[in-house]
This record gives sequence, C-alpha cells and structure tokens, in this order.
Amino acid sequence: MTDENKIVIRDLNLWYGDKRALIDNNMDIRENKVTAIIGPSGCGKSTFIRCLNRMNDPVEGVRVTGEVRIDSKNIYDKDVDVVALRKKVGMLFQKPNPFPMSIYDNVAYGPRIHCTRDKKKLREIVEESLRNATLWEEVSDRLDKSALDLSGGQQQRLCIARTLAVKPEIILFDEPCSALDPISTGKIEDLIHELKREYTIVIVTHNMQQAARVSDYTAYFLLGKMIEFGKTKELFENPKEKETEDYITGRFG
Amino acid sequence: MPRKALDREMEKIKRDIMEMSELVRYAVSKAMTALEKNDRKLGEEVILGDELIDNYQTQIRRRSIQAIALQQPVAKDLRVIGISMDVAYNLERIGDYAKDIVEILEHMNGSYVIPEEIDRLGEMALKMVEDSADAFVNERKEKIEAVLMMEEEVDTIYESTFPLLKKTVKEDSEQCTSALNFALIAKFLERIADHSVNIVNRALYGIHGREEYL
Repeated sequence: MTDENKIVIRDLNLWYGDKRALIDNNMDIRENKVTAIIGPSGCGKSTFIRCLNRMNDPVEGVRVTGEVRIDSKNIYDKDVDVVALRKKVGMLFQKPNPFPMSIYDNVAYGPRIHCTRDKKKLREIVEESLRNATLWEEVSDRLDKSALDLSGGQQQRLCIARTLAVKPEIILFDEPCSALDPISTGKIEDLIHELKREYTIVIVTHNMQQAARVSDYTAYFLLGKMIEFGKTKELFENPKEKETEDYITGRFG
Repeated sequence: MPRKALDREMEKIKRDIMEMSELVRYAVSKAMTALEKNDRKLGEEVILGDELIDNYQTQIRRRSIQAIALQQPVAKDLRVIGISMDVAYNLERIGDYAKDIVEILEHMNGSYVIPEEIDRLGEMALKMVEDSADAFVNERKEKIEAVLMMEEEVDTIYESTFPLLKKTVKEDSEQCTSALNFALIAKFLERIADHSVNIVNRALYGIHGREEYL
C-alpha cells in the first residue's frame, strides 16, 4: 500500500461535438485505493471514467483537452500505445460481457495475445486469475463449459478474472453491480476490497450506499463538473458542499 | 423534498426527545421541590416516573436504529439520528440523578435549611436541561451558548459549596448528616449540568459535523 497518486488529472475537458460534457476537472487518484464517482444521470461520471483508458476515443465527434497522467505519463500524448494503455488500465462494465467461448478461453484470451502461448504457463495464469476473482471454487470442474452458462454474478467475476489475467495496474468499474442481485453484488464488493491490495480501482456507481461501502475516496459530479472530492467517510458524514449534501441525502432536484 | 419517509421518522425522533426532556425537566423540578418541602410523597412520584423516562430512551433508540436500517440516512440526517441516541442517553442519566436526589431525602433527619448555593444550582440545572433539548431539536445556537455559559457558573458555585458545608459542620456537628447529603446533591446537580453540556455538544456536532463535539 502506498500514498502515491497513481492517476493525476488536470484541466480535463471533453466535448461531444458542441456539447461540453466534462468541464475543467482536476483529481488525484491514489494508488491501491478505491475511488468512487457518484452523481445523477448525465453528470459525466461514465464519460470521466472512460477518459482514464481513452475509451471515448472511438466515439465520433469527441474532443478531449487537459491531461490524464498515469505514473507521470500523459495518456493523451501522441506517442501513447492505446492497446498497451488498455492492458494497464482494465475496465468492467454494467452488463457482464463474456466472450462466447469456454470459461478457460475467456481468461486465457488476453494472456495469449499479450504474454505467452505456453500451455502450462497459461493454465497457471487462468487458475490464479480465477482464484483472485473468487470464482475458482465454483468453476474449476467445468472450465471447458461455455461462459454464457454462468449466472450473471459469475459472469461478472469471470470478466474480472479476464481483466486480471493481463496484469493491469488500474481497474475501472462502470456500474459493475447494477444488473446483479444483492448476493452477487456482495461478492463483487468483497472482491473489490481484496483487489485494492494489488490494484488501483475507480468505480462509477449510481448506488450511493455501494460507494460508501467500497470506496476510500469519493468524487461527486454534477453537470460535467466535479463538485466535491474527498475521503468517503468525510463526504458521507459531513460533505463540504451544499450540492453534495442535497444529492447524497436524496434532496436533489 | 423526495425523502418524506425519512423526514417523518426524524420528526418523530425529535418529538420523542422533546417529550422526554420535558419529563426529565419535570422530574428534576419535582425532586428539588420535594427536597425543599421535605415532601416524600412527591419524591415517590419522581421514582415512579423514572420508568416512563427509560421507556422513552428505548423508543428513541429503536426508532433511530430502524431509521438507519430502513432509510439509510447520510450526512446531516445520519449525524442527527446517530446523536439522538446519545441525547436520549444523557436525558436518561439526568432522570436518574433526579431519582438519586429524592432517594437522599429519605436519609434527611429532622428539619434542615437548603443552602442558597444548592438552590441556585437546582435552578440552573433545570434551565440547562430545558435549553439543551431545545438547542438540539431546534438547532437554537443562542441556547447552545447559554448552556455553555451556565456551565461555567455551575462549576464556580459547585466548587464554593464544599468549603461552605465544611464550615457548617465545624460550627454545628449535628448538621453533619445533612451537610454530607447536600454535598451529594450538589454533585448530582453538577452532573445534570454536565449531561446538558453533552447534549449541546451533540447539537453542535449535528450542525457542524466536527468530531471534536462527539
């Protein structure tokens, strides 16, 4: 565990055509901590998190200004290899998206492309990734079965295992539990607690209780602008800004 | 205001605290009157009334825990609900001190004259109980300041009570028992004042959220 900033964001702006979706945002994201992004629909929180591994790049008409420095390197510099960036900064989405192949091949897919084709090595990576995603015990006897036969919660943990298999340093979660039942949600939240020992985590969530439960730091976004950022326990116990208080107490709008 | 259910629960908790504080204030007032008039029957009423005060504490605790479980309050809502349990605890302790005062009455033999200082402590303690509950429920900053000011005066009077009682005993050894009893009563009244200060500190925490008030 360190107290270093893994991601430093400075004057980050994003336009979709003429519409400015992010406005002059600055944030320091700590290494080996969980940072939650909360805010009402359309506030720019998903757009923001997608800036951290340039997932907005393929969107037509998008223009980004400002800097996102990961380990001191601006990821928007021209010489950045976006594929390598996305290996370093993995991402999980609201709906689990396993590939239509076996459980084993889902996890082995990334390492086969990025690291090794050695079967023994691949088996080790698959097992380690599934164990770290707390899925191994549930699937170890049916690795050759289709990933699509798993439950929603298992599919989401499989996607986490798939992300872990390429040894990222940062994991972005965009509403990872909104399609899951409370038990699967609890498992993912426990997993996030475990994962922060090794990874820096940023999570977007609509569920404020989830943000309070899993994160060390929380940022509140409104209309594309970060209104408040601080330690989660302080933001939920005694927010500094009235807009934050109105939102988290449910008196927004 | 889309959180009507939570607001309703908070109103109920605050109403309970006001009612409980009224009962507690009444208990202290009756205890002082019973002492003044050596009225043991009135003293009995204080002892019997304590159960109702205890029931209020249980009710406030139950409502607060339910509100946290069912409404998931955060920020100021959470602070206020969390410290409501603390406020109820302090009020319950004040009720116990009222009971302690009338229990002493049973050990008072013959006639006695209440020292002026004890009288004054009683008046101030009563005012502090009333103001502190009002300060918490209605966020009355002037009442918070008033309670904190009164605390200083209570401490000064309390400290002056012991030399005075010592002098009384020296002059008339027959007064020894009542002097000891008055020393205890002074202590109970000073503790009532302290619990009132605890309540206004929680009120300050509710308003500002700073941990120094916890």
